[in-house]
Amino acid sequence: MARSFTHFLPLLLFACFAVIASIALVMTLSGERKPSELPSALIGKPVPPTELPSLYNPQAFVNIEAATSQPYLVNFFASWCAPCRAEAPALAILAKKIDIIGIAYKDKPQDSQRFLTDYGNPYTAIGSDNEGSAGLNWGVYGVPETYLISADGLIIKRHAGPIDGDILREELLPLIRSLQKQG
Amino acid sequence: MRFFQALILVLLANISVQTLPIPQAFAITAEEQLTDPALEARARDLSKQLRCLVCQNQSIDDSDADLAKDLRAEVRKQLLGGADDKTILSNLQEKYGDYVLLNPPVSLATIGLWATPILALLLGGGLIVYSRKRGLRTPAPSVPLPSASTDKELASEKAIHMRPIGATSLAVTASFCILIAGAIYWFGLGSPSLPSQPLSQRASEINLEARQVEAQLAEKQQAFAAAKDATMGTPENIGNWLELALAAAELGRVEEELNALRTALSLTDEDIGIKSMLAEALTRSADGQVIPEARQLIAEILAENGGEPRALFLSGLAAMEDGAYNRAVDNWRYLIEISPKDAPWVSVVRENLTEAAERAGIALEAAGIALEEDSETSPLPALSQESLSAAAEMSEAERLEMIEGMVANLRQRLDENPKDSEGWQRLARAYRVLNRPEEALEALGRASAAALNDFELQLAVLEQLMMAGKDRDTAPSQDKAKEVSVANIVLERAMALNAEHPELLFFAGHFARRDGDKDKARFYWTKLLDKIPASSETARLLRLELDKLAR
Repeated sequence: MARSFTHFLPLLLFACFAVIASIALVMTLSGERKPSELPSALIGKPVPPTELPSLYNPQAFVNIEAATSQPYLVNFFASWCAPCRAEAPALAILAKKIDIIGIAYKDKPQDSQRFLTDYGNPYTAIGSDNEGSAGLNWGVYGVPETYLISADGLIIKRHAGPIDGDILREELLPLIRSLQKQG
Repeated sequence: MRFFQALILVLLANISVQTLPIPQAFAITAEEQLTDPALEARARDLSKQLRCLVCQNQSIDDSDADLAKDLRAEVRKQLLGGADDKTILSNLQEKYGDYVLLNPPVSLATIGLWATPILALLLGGGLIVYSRKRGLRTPAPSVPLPSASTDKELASEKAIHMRPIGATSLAVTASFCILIAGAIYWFGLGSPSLPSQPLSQRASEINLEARQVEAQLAEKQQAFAAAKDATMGTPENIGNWLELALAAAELGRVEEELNALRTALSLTDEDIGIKSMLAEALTRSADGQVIPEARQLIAEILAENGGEPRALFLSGLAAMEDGAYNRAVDNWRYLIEISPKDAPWVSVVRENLTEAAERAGIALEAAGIALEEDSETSPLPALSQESLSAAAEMSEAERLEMIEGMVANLRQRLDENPKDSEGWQRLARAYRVLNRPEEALEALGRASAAALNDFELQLAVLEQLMMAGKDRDTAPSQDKAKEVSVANIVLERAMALNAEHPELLFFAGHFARRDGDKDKARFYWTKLLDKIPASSETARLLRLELDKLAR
């Protein structure tokens, strides 16, 4: 008994490993597991203090620090970013339900302004992050990125990449609705 | 326990492989470097420990990505500020998470990762010790056996060795196979010493591809021009028009494709093949929406030939659009039934059919059985039909909202730049899809006003006006009056540019008739008749229409 057990133990261990590996592989292939999608380190933490010159009025400053009385979105965008164009309609819908603060990431102000004239301006305030330093503080690794902030200034969700219809309907809108009910 | 010896060999092999000197390509540029060599060395060292979050398997020291460059600059900035290595790493870890560190820290989440090798070694070692104590595996005696040992004893010892040898050799063979397969895979794909393929060095390859694409486009354009010339030369030849339609479709020039198909259709006696091509092109031009004109055509085709594949397919699409999923399932099932097994459209139809069945909430097999058993009664069980249609409506509303958002955007852009005639025409089409005829008419008026000196554009506007009129023949007469008044303005503008153009004469006659001014219509169409070959099909149709007017 003991002998056959010790002989088959390695095989057993290998079988366990093979099962785990194949589950991971199947989940990756079916799109359920997305290894390239990075979790934000900032979820549940307060927003990083951010003060940026306003896009349309460089003398004024856009401040993302103080807790507001209601939840809001922070959206990093740039005129050079094609997916940002793709998510413009989704942002237009969101703008009817929630305040959106835009941050023009590594973009010339005049380019950002032209982008907004062409594709619509869903933002309540826009900061100009010319150097990308605010992006570093928020852990942004590619535009567009969207953060949902609760009324007490905590980051609830980060979505990297353009917002499409599915993300809008199934993730963002329900979350926003529940946040707004709480508030 | 040779298996564990093999395992240890594998581990050793891994270690030696990882410590091999690996030729590195650096991404860092001269201007990024710090002047202080000691600080710069620290910066390089830190960069090698940080992951580029865009490339994800390169350090920021290796990566050419923009973000890697930013992170390198951030590291150097903090170094100049006097921060020590640990602080810099933890600062970045705070913002980007553990993932930014190439060496994962020991934490609750990563303990498994760190502990597994140790556990594996302990387990293996333990097993070896355990099995030795049990005497299952006596080592080869280093001391000669006492002479007292008999052949019998040796034989029994051999027997002990013999029995497990099947399982052991299997395990050893398997582990060697895995080892060799892993090595082959690693040398083929994973080796960091493989030459990199920087984008700049592949420029010639990329250029070649770009040139090929260009050549293809030029070819298509040539085919289009040739087809256009052919239709100019012999406008009564249907084949030429169909060729033109195909060439236009290749280039994605939908308006011209529609034009050609309409002309081809007018040359034949309502040929249903061409009709179905037209219906398909119309649907394509409306981004997959089966617009009323296309529906009309489909109905006509199916009335004549219930098995016309294109029309059946489009009819299914129209049903899907209306939320009548059961009808779509019926249509597509029938289409698959009557199609040859290897028909090119079967796979697409099957895909659509599956989706329709899903939406309708029925299992495909069940639908098939129901259809075969009893095709008289409604074959499909109404599975919570109410909730289904409610869900469909909701997402439809959201979709409509999205379209309306886009239309509003376009409108705003055009208000700022009203000289874009084609933009206004696009807007008019969108309004027509949204069933807002008043605004569509207004947009068409603006489209015409934006292109006062462009005859072709004025013609295009007139054509759209004509189609807008056809959309709704049941519309209130005041709509019609407005349509005609807009048309009259556009006609006047176009007349000022080229009063003798046949197409314009046709439109002028059409709108005059719509306005109820038969004399005027007759005047224009008679004039047009003089300009086209008397034997052509168009001329024949025109004479028919003129006869009707005279009555």
